[in-house]
Amino acid sequence: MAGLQRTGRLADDFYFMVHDDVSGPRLPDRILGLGLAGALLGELGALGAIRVEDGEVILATATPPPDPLAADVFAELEAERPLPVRDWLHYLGQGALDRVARRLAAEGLVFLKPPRINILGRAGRWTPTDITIAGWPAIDLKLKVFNGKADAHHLMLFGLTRATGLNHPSLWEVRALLADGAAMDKILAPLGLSPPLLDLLAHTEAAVGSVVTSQRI
Amino acid sequence: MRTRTPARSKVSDALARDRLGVSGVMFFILAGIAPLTVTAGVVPTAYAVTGLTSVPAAFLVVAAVLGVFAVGYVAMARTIPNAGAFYAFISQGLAKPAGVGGALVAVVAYNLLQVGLYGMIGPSLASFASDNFHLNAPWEVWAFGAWAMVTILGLIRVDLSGRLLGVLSTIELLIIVAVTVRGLAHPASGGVNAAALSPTSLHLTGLGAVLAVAVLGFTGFEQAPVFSEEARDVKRTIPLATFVSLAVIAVVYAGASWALNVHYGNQVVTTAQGPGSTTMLFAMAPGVLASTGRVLFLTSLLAAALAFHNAVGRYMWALGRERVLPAVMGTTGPNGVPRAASGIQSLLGAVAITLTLALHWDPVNQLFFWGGTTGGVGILLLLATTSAAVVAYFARTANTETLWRRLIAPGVSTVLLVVMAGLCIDHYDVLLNVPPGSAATKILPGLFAAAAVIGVLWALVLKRIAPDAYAAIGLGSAAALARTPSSAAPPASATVPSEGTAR
Repeated sequence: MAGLQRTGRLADDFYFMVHDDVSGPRLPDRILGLGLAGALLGELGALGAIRVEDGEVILATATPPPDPLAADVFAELEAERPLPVRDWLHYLGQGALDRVARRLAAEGLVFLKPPRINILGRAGRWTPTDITIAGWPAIDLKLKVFNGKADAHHLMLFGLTRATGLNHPSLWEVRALLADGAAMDKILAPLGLSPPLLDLLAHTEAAVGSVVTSQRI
Repeated sequence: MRTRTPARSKVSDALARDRLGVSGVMFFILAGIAPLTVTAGVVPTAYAVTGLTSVPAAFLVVAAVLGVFAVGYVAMARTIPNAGAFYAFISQGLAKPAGVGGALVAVVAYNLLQVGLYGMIGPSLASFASDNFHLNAPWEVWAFGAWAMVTILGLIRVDLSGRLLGVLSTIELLIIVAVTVRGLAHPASGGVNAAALSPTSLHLTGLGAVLAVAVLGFTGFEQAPVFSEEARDVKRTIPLATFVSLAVIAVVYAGASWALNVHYGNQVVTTAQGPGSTTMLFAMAPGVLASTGRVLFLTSLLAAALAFHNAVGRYMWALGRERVLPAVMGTTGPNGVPRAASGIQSLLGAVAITLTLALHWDPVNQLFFWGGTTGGVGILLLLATTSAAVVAYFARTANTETLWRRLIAPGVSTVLLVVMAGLCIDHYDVLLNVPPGSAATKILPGLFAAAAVIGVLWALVLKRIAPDAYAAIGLGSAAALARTPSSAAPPASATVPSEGTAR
């Protein structure tokens, strides 16, 4: 495996961004879940598999995506009548961490580290096999945004970073942008070409805002 | 609001499990109201400072007024689910500058309520420790200890505001009821007299003062719409939780303050003015009940301080996120705590305790009671403005609300709340128990005037220098949605200039 092995999938990269290899997640559970859910929907949105209409997620195609997890989510969407984006974010957010971690584990990028003290029922922790791979999405994002070379994938990651309020040390050089609404709108503008993506980001941000104000983070 | 048919599915079942029902929302509300803090702390102090015996009647009158107010309030909460409560309602009902003015008034009021608690926590802990453990330390040591605890717990996100606080508040309510029954069963010579419950016992001079105290006691009931988006059924859960909390609290408060009146008879004011003020509620029921009550009073105070600290932090965070306050307020730490907002709130607490020491104020009668009642007056001003905003909102937007909900109830409550606020401000000297015309009667209400003016001016500045931030004022977490062109936009965004991604 020469160079940096990456999956190129949105939720995988976001997973690595929100996980510090030493101290664990950089976001509280519910916000983390909402961010990953936004990323999972974003994967479908980037493929053109879903649309957002009147705040609801609508399937835009009958063909499920090739990736098994994305296909699972696609099947769940298919089984329901159209529901608001917010509902999907909350629903997918409940299991997103585990599902994304399992997908990464299937490719050998993370493994379940058993707890140091094995008390009954205590779950292990998903740990990256290679911290260089785990650290790369954030550094890559910083470089691409800083140099104005971000593509839709990077912009989605950057948008999710803002939406969840993620404070990543590797993004230090671009963090002023995250706090500047007008600058962010300009940076993320190219996402307007794939219509659901900006909507997904906005709904994720609104959902995060709601859980923080109601103190249910 | 989108109407949701209650069709069952895997997704809706999973979501329903995660959402708050009526009891869940009520737990949050009761935790914010902190009933024991009010009945054991505020009520005796109210008797002492105002020298009036009509406190029970005031609770009933205020509960009735708030009940009428809540009709329009929860109706508006149904159409604006992304509510930062007062701030969002005023912005969308009246005008954005008024909303920002209201937001700053709320920040001042909630902060006063929080820092005021240290004035009660300090002396209560001090007397408890000296009675039970022979630990004699001055009140400020305990106040700063409590302050440090709140600061740390606030920053490491120990949110007591969930079930635990709900359970604690429920036990508090039961204790209050038990003590009340005991007090009523042992009246002073002269027997049980219901005069104090009658609204006719309220005199015009003292009316403002006792009404402000009563509003202070109910502060927290207005929080229900904050949980709109977390509620199982926004149309049912939020109104029900609001009205049931209001009714329960009204009965408990009126009962407990009446029991004090009955048990102590014509000595109620003098007892309250004496050293046993904060224990007089529990002294009605000697024994285990009393000592449990005293311990719970302390936990109630600390929990209330933490709950208010967190609520103020979240409030300032929401404002920071909308850039009504500096953007740094709108950032969270890795654990989701609004760090800057939490830090500022803690700083204000330390300043308040230090000021009280430096100026030799009495912690209970000044820091706690002045801070609390002034905060209560601020809430009253906000309630009045919000009530007017409800009328204006429904007059402007197409809706299917009944005449009672959109006009009559909010209209009546606007008039009543304005009159109440006017009485408070007019008789501020009675409220604070100072000579008419002294500086405190000008400075304390002046804080709200200053906050309102600064807020309005700041909104006008924002309109000029940051039109996108101005456009998002009052939209709450939905502000993010207003930026996208294709999303279902909240009602008020009709007035928002379209500024999609094309900019």
